[in-house]
Amino acid sequence: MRKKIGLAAAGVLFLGLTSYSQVVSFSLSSGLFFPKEEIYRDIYGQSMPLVLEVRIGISRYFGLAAGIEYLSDKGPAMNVNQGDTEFPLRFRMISYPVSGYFLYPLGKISLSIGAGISFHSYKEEWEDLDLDHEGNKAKPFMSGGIEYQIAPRLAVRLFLRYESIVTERGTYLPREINLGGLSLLGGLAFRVF
Amino acid sequence: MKHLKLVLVLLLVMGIAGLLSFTEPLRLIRIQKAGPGLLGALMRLQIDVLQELGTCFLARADREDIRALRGYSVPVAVLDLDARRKSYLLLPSLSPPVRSNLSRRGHLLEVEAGTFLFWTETGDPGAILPPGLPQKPLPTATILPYLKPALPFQKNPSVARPANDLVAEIAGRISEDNLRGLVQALQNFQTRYVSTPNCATAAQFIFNYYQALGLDVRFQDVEYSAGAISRNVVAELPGRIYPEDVLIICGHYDSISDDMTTLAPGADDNASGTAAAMEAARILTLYPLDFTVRFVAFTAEETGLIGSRVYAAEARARNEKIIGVINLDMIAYPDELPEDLEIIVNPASEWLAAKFLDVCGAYGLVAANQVVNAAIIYSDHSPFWDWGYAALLAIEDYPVQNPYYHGITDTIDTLNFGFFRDSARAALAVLAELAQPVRFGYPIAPEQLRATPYTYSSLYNSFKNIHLSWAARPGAAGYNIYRSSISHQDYQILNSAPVTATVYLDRYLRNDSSFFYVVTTVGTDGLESNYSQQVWVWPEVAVSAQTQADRYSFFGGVQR
Repeated sequence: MRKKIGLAAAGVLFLGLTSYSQVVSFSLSSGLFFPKEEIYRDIYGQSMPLVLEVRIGISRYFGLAAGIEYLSDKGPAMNVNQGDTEFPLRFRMISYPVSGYFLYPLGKISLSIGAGISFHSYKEEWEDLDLDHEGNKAKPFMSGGIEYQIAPRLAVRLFLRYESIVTERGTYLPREINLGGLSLLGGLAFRVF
Repeated sequence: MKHLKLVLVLLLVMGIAGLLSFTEPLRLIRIQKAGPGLLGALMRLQIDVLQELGTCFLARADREDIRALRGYSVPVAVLDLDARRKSYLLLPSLSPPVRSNLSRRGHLLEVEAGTFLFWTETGDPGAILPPGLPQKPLPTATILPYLKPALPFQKNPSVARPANDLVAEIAGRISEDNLRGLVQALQNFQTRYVSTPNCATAAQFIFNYYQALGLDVRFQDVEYSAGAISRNVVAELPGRIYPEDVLIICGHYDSISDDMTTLAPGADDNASGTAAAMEAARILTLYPLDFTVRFVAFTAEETGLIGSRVYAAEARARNEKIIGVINLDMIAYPDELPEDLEIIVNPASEWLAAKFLDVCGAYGLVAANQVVNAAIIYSDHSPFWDWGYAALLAIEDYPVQNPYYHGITDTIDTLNFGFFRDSARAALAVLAELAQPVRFGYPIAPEQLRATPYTYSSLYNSFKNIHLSWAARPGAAGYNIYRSSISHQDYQILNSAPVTATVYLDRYLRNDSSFFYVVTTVGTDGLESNYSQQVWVWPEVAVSAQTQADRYSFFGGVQR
């Protein structure tokens, strides 16, 4: 349900603002995700999220962004006492970030910082056992980056994003699991208008 | 010159401040039992927990520890700002005159409903107490290593509970006449107050009785006041298969009254418990057992559980494997009929009370009532709790209803020997069930049973596989493996047919539960042995919330 709401919100935002926009761009990025959670790193290592984003500039300096992000990882279950069996796990998270940003153009280079909220839908599966866990959370995030225009409609974008996604308690660690962390992402942005 | 003085004064002030910081006093604190993370916090901070009560722990801690505990949202109250070189006494409910008297002569605090803490700035607070007032000195050693995760206790009503004919036969051999004779003999010493020669003579009488049964008997010296010695009497019936695993039945033989140096008959308190243990010994010597049984008569219970404190501390120092302790203290005076026997345990010993009730039900013995309350600490079971052993107190009523209690009128003619016999039978039946009479012609249970847990965890879910192994028994056709979530009862078989290997993997178990295992040997004729030693796996306790490295595991009887 939240997925649908997130998609609808992003759609309304996009349609509603394009009529006032000066710039609309699409970008596709990927990079490295550095999880905050130690157990996440132990099990899944470092992840590579994929981000599709649309940006709508509503003035020279300000804009809104919405997107969709996909993260998928595989790894073995943490084996606490050196047992001789391996249990494969799979983790997937789809997020729908919506944010506002401030853009500072410097010729072909633009600097930006932004903040917003992201709707996350996540699922962890044991491939051989019926021990799945899934959930949904909406959490704030911050981002900042740099964009370099390499052609009239094409730019290279590099940005950092930090978010804290505190979720449910684990049965092994006696605290809530944080799926957030720092992402270093890079990609190409295509300007439509 | 003027500046030099100033510098010297400053140096002096700094020196004194430094000295004060080195001599930062340890406080006595009360830690409320709250939240599932409490044990982890106590372990992480290595808090000197001294006493468990019903709703709280008493502990020693410095300012940093207190701050850190509060950081974990643990409710902490400081009871005494400087706990160095002080003795504290725990006391039960007090009458207003006693309360008022003690408040005038020292510090008296109600640490929880019905439990008082009493201390003086100097000297022995025990010297101020009126004689005969139940008391327990606050231990000085930490109980932290023996604390285990508190888990919901749930008996499984669906597990069939077969009665053992041999156990029924054993319990049925308790003789009312023998009990009467033993109580009379103990009462005949006039007084068994710890400092009297009669107490020593009573100890010798008990020693001789056990020796005449052919048991290994020893005295254990106990210093009950400076330079003054009394003696516990310890008799042992070694187990045939698992001699290192011990069950204890005990009671104190000393007595007290208003006229304690000349007359303290102590028929109910506690010739009754002592006699029941002695009668149990007479019967059990006729039946070889798998596990060792000890019969202990403690001294100096009435003056602060001194005999049992010495015994339990020494047992822990030797790291003895004590399966359980049945402490009988006042089991022969019913204030009304029908009377039920109160079985008092702390949360860690709840299984033992459940076993007692289970056995009473299965064999149609005395009605028993289970009370789980770690604050009932005024008898010889309590020091065993302090050292991490399971122990119960069997008593006719708590609070005590016997009007002759601690009086010169606590005599044999006030006792009800029907109730006394039934109480003694129940205690013996529980002891026999746990010690397991050898059944001739049946196979022998396996030895060296070990359990090793392997935990697997994802971000959100975890489970454990428990690997069991044991030594092969020659001539065995196979083995049956049993599991329970409660110690020493409700075992359910895991295998559909006897397994021929000497290993077994129990898989996909909840990570937050405890599991208890026993194995039996199945002979070629299909006969099945008694249960083996029990091994167990407790849930791990996270000491650090961050990493899996800093965790305490409890399994196989060993904390690692």
